[in-house]
Amino acid sequence: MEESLHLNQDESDEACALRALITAARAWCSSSTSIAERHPSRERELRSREALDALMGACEAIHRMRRQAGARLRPIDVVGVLRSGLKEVVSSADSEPLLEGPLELPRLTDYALELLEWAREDPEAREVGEGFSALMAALQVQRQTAPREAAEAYRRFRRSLIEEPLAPQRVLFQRFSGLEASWKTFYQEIPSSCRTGPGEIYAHACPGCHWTLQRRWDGHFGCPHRACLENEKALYAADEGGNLRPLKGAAASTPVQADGLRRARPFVWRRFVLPGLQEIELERRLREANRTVRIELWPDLDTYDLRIDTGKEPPLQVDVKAWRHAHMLADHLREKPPRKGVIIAVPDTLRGQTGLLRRRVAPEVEVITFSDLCDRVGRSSS
Amino acid sequence: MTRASDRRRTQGASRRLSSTRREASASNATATPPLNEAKSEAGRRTISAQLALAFTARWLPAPHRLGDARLFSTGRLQLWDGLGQIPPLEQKRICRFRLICARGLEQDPAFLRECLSILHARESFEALRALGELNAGQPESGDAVLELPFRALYPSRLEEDIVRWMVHLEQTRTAGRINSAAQPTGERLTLHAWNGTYSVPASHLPAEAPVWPRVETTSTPEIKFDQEALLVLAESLDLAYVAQASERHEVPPVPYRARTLRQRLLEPMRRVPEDEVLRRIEPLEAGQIQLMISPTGTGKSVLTTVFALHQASLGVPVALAVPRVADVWETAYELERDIALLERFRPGTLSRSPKVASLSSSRERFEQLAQHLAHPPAWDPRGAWVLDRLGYHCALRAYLEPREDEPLPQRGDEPCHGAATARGPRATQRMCPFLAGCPLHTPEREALSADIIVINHHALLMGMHRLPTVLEHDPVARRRPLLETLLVRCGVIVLDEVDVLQKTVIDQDAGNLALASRGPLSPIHRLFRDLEEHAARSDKPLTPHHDRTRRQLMSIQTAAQELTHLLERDLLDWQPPPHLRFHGSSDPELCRVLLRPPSDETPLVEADYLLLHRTMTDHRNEAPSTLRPLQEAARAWIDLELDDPRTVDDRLEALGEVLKQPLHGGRAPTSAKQRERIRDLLALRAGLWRLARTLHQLSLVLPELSRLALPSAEPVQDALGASRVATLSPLGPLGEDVYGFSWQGSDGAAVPLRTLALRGDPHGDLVQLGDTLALALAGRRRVVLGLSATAWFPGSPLCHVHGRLRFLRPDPEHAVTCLLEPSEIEISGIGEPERRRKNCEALGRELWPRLEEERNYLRSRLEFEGQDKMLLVTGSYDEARHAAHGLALAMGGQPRSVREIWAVQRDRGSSPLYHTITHRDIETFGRSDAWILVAPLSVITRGHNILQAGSVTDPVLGSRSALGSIYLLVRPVPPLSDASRLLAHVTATRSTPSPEHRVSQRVTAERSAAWVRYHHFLWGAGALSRLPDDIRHEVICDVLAELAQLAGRARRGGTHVRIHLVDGAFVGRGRWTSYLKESFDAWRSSGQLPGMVAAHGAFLRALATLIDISLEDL
Repeated sequence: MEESLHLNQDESDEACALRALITAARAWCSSSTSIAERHPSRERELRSREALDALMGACEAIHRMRRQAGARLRPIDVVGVLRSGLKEVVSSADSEPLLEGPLELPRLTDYALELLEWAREDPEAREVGEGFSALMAALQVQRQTAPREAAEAYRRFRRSLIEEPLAPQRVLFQRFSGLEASWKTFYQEIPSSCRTGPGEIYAHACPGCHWTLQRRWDGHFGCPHRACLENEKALYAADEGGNLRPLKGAAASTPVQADGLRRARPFVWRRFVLPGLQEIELERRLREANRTVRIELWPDLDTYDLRIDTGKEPPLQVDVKAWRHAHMLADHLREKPPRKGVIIAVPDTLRGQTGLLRRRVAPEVEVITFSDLCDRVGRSSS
Repeated sequence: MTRASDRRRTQGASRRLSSTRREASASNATATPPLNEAKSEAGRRTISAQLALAFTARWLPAPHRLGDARLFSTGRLQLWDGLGQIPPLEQKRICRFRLICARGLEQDPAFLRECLSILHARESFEALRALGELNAGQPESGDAVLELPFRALYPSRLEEDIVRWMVHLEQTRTAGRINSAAQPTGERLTLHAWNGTYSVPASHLPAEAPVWPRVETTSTPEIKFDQEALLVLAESLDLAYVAQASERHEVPPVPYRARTLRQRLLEPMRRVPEDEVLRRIEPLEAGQIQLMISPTGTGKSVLTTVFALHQASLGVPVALAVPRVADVWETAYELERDIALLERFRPGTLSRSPKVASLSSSRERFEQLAQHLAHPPAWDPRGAWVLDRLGYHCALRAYLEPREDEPLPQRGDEPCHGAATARGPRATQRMCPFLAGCPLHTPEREALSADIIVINHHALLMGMHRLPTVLEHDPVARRRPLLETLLVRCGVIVLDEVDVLQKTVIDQDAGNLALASRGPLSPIHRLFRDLEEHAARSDKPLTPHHDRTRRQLMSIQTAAQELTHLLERDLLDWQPPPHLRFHGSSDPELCRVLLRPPSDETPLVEADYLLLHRTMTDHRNEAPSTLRPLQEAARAWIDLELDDPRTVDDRLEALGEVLKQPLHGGRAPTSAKQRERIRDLLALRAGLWRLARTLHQLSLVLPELSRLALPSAEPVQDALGASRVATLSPLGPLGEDVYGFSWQGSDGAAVPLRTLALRGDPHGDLVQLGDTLALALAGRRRVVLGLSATAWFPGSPLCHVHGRLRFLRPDPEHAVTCLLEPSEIEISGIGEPERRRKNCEALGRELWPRLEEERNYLRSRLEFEGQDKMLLVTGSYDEARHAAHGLALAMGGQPRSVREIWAVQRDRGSSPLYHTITHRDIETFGRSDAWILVAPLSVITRGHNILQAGSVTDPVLGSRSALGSIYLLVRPVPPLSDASRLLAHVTATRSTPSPEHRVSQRVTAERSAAWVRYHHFLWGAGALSRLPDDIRHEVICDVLAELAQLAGRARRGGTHVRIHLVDGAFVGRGRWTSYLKESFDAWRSSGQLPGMVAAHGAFLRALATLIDISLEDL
């Protein structure tokens, strides 16, 4: 029991350190931007004060996590850690950095944005969240009179978001015409950083997630999602004509006209598109494992992700969680526990998270990997 | 006037001493307290008084009188010419005594009370006259106590007694003593501090007991000013920089250090007073501060760096004090870079590799770091150097338990010594358990072992270590002033811009105390509350002392609340901080309105001020019948009983009624508005007098409160009873505090009235830094070298440092031209802000064609090559904005005006007509396309080098200034109602001990002279023209010293400058030229003119030409 208490304290200290590092990354970026863009003195001073305070806060949290032992970390070292990866100081963290780009003008990485969302510091999340809540409220009303239509409308909406994160505006206009939501809540114009060619007329889709490829701090174009970069080798060099030349062996990218095209907003991409790809992938694997199984995606207006009915046992209720950081997921599950009986499925690539998750959320919540779930469903067919 | 002032002061002292005698004779007549009591502050006070008597008996000529012993109790050791003639150990003991003696002993009443008690007891000393006589209560009994002869009962035992008592004082000294570290109870340690609650798991606490740094005392080496060695080092530095550029394939920098040092500074420099060329190796003397005076741009910075490096490489640690924290970091960075380059490219130049550390206040460090990151300078563009050296965090803060809906506590206020394991007013304060290894204190730790310690002026004089340290001669771990460890560690202290340092002492030598509760409870209120709680808990009745203190605290709160209420009506032109106000600030205006007919323009005399002062404050004696109604109305403000039913409005109405009739030959204020103003000024005067009087009384009884051990007493005692600057003479020549008052202005928020107890002897403290103060703190004298262009400016209380003028680099060049070209538009002297703004704009418009003409002139003259930019100096940011606006309109507006006019503002704003910059960007003006810079005087005077764009640095003269002309749109006369200025004028004049006078007489004479100057200033405040001649000369000298610094902005690189006096006030009511003539006369008659011409020749010649006199004739 005592051991378990210590573990909880340590894990909490680790989560605090992680949160402090994220805050520091955001504040340091914001401070550098204000200096580079020569904002008014008072604003620069305010942001610098916040940045310094955040760096010092990160030092303090890390030293608390280390129980004040080991080598002293200074605020300047924290800047280094943010650029080189958190693994050095938080053992359970990803090795991915939170900051990229030139020293004078650092930018938050995709991983940092994801962590920021966890730390609830992303303003876009609020905006999309409000739009999404309004849509769901309207569908709930519709469900009172036409449950099947409401569920179907929601499934169409979700699937289109996931499968078409890049779409022409006219298509979106039609798609959203029957919904109590504006396409502008979920989509945006193609930003300049994602355009190529003379007059920035072209955009390119990632072969992995189908979202836009964008210009990186080193001048190349790539997908901001680490998995796409690693698995699909989605890294390209742009030529003057706007074509992208693969650098790591990915398939060539076909340029599309950027004007009139809209892309999912970054928060929508992180929150709906990327996890949705995992959900659809799990659905595919489950069908392969058991061809007789009945699978419903996002049942009861997304109460959970998949209902798996093998016909022999009560249906399985599954929520897919492909979170980068186990601490974040554990915090989330403790704060908002899933409904009773819902199993948490994590992709096989995140198998390492299951131990920590089980320690922190078990026995109330069952945690399982995709493969183990497929095995279980496959066994039930025999 | 002198006699009248003396009499008043003597009578005041007599009254106080009468009560002293009664209390002393009534008390139990035992002198040496029993051991258990001797540790208390009261016991320490008795032993301290015994020591003062013992020193008197041991070292001063007989017959000994109590007044002689005041030399030691007040710390006015400079009045004793015998100090240097006694054995060094005894000198050290006497200086140390003043540092460790009991608090409050510097106040005469407290000291003499103790002395009488000692003489009654007849244990070690006895009076040589019957003490009973003193109780008869003769009118001159104050003097009688001072003249009371005494002798040591056992002269042969004196030496032994002195040693024993000193040991006792050392052992029982509580200053800086640290609390024990907090210990956990169970699994966690919970600490309650002012800024939150901290909960630390026991497993996170350090396992080992803390080890405090020990500061090694540097022996007293001979510090040599070795010209040849300095030049060799400067040359090596030049070569190292060239080698580095060569390695990087960059254009080599111009090697200017050695040549500038030789040709611009050392060769023209003379030893003073002997007019001979400096010898090759010149030993500097430990003791009083020595000055090196050299004009701007003649190589002082190079010398400072090279001298520090040279001494450090010889093994002598050096402290280098520079004005601001930003200067500290830049200097430390440059020194580090110099050392690294020398080691890499000129190995062997330095016999050892010196370690550099920068030191500044921990409290301010966070804010300074944030400023640095927000505005990174060119030498540290990403702030990485500063973050690396000075970035920190607080180990305890990681365990802060955040309170819901409350922001996290501010950085800089970490509870290193002030957290308690329980709540409540009597909770024992504990030390932070992480203190010994906390990263917050890394710079302090590094500085304690560094070879060159760069520190800012403020921290040098007022900074305290948060980290306890141990010294050889004081092995108790204490928190010490930074100055103490620096004097212990460093063999030489170099003070850059030493006149700025003196100004810092003058402005800051005071405690600051909120008097009314606005927002948080005021310290006064907290102390009152704690006293009440103590009385409620105690089974004994309060002593008369404590009861009196309670009433004083209540009276202060009431008066402060009333005055704040008065100020919040916004009818009075109260200037915001740092200006201070005192009760007599408006006396000139009040005297003229109330006591003089409208047609009477003759100067006010002492009798006028005395009459007003007595009417307003002396309610024992009746005022003349014409002033009795005013006396009656003023009494309602000064002697107000706490249960008086009259409200502030009632009493204001009564004052207003009085003013409806003419008083004492004066006129009744004609308009309702003027009557209201005079009424409020009178109420303010009475209220501030009441506050000052009560605060003084409170400061006398505060030491008694130490017996009650109330935590809330400490902040009040610190503010009223302790000097923030390490000093041996806490009350200075005045012998008591002067209370200044400040108020921020309401501005919609609740802001309390604050007081600043101005005390001490800023001029004397600076002079004695390496002498008696170093003896007291470090046990040995130190070499202190002060550098500046204007630190030797006789007559200027702010700038002139009373040290020994050791090196003078003469300034004979005819490089400054002063031109009196006044407009008809006046700016200075106009009180209404709106009119000033309009006049600034009009003057800006008027100046435009003259500026164009001037530019053509500068371009046509060879001596102004590359110097076609101009500086327009105003009195404030606001005025700079309006002058730039007028100028831009006259220029024809944008786009030209935006390109060509820059205005310095507090923040970068946007104006469609001109470009705005902040003070941080001033130096970029030289490289810009603009040619007109408009800036406030206070911002531009010092520290900014506006150099020509792309000019190749001259190997001798250095980079050249881009400014050719300076236009003064303001006649710079400082506000004369400022209390810190008052203190400066009081202490600026040094008393020369007269050999035929006894020590007691010297102390009395110095005090009388100081009070005469105090009243001179007080009564003259208000207008320059009405000041007494000597005070006006001092004010003019302050202004001229500032102007000399301003001219220096355009003289870097040996350039010429034209100063145009264009404010109409230069020839208006102010009679500027006649004041200048008066000052020249004053220098001539005091024999200081030759020195002034040598030190400030170019500037003085320009002034002399302006007023049409010949220096040669003078």
